[in-house]
Amino acid sequence: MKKFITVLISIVVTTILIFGLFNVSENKTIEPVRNLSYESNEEIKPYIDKFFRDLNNHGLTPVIPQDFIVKFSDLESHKNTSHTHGISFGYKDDDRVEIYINKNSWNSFNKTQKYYIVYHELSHDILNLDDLNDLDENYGDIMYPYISKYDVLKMNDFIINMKLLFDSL
Amino acid sequence: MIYYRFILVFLFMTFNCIGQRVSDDHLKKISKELRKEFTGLVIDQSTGLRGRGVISFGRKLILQYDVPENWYPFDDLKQVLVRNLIDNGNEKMYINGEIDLGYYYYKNNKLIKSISIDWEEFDKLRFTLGEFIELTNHPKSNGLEIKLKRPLGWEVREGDGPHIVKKFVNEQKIYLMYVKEIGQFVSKDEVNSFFKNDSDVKEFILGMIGKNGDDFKVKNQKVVTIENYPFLYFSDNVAKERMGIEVKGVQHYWISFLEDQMIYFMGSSLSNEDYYNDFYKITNSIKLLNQY
Repeated sequence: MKKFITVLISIVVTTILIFGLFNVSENKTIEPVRNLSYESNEEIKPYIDKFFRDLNNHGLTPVIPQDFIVKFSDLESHKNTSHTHGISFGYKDDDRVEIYINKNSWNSFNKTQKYYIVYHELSHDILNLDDLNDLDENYGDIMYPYISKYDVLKMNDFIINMKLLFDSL
Repeated sequence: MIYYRFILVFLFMTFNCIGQRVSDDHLKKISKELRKEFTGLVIDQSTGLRGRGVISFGRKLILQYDVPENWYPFDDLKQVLVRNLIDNGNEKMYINGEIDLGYYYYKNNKLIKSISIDWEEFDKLRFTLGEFIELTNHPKSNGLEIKLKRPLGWEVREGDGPHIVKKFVNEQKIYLMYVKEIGQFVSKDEVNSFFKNDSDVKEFILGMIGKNGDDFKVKNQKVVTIENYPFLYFSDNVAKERMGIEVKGVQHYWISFLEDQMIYFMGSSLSNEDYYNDFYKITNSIKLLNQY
């Protein structure tokens, strides 16, 4: 019994530590990213509107939280996000959508990649979907983690994969 | 190309009232009159091109130029001249008058370049496509990445309706591009499937042109490929009253669903002549930049 209690306490402490570390890590990242962000409504909004339109077309009507931020941020200027095209902080938090998209990546992306990154990040925060593994079989999928590899894909690829994802939910 | 404009304006004023074949003697008289204005005139200050003289020889009107030491003709000078004449709509007076053209260029009193254009060449090249009109960033293109060529001599106009992106207009002929959001993305396969369903297609066409099945027979309806993408082609007869007279014509449509937009290209003319070939050539120049 004593051994069981010791193990239980160890598990609880470890869990607290892990979550604590995660929060510290997130806080270390989120503040600089927030500080590096700026209003981007005009450019990103049409993509966001189409994401919700397409969800609706597939019979998916998630509640949109009040705390809803999708902005550009100079992610390259911060060491933790210097190689990140987009980052979301609302995954598994239904009260928050907080997404920052690397402005330099955005400018270098073609139209298809722009759709992919917005739908990818919103799928994290709105649909609580996680990244897929970097496997060939996942290439083309909305939740594939490397949008930069999608520079050869066309809008038709995006449309097919968007429908596959939303149909699967 | 200042010198072309000068010559064209002058000749247009001279030939405007003719509109039919001029006699050789009349052409000689015109060349004499033109010579007075043309000789010694700086035609293009940037290149130093000067008018040297104008002569006529049979049915040919020859414009002579003095060029400076550092002037060299373009390799495609003839094409440039022909395209400019067509683009300004001035080829018609040479066709109507059955007048051939000659352009002679002299350097230090020595002929260094001559170009001949037979009036019949203009007739063959009358419908020639010009440069691409880029519509990708046009606000009415709704994000579609697209460009197409305008025909030389046709006026390019902004669309006057809410979804009409551009219009090419030439006399009674109009060619336009229309884009409208449809509220959902469609894939190429879905478009292909839709076009294979005859009853859906018929209903769609009837809805689009606002006719009912009784008074409309879809003509030449077929699925064609434009830039690797399926489009539905069909034509429709139109009739309009003008000054108490009924004028009939044909409208040609190439229509599809691309991304989340309905897009069509329509060529129409209110005349007894069907300009399908001209409209086909414009449509064939379309580049859908996200397809490759």
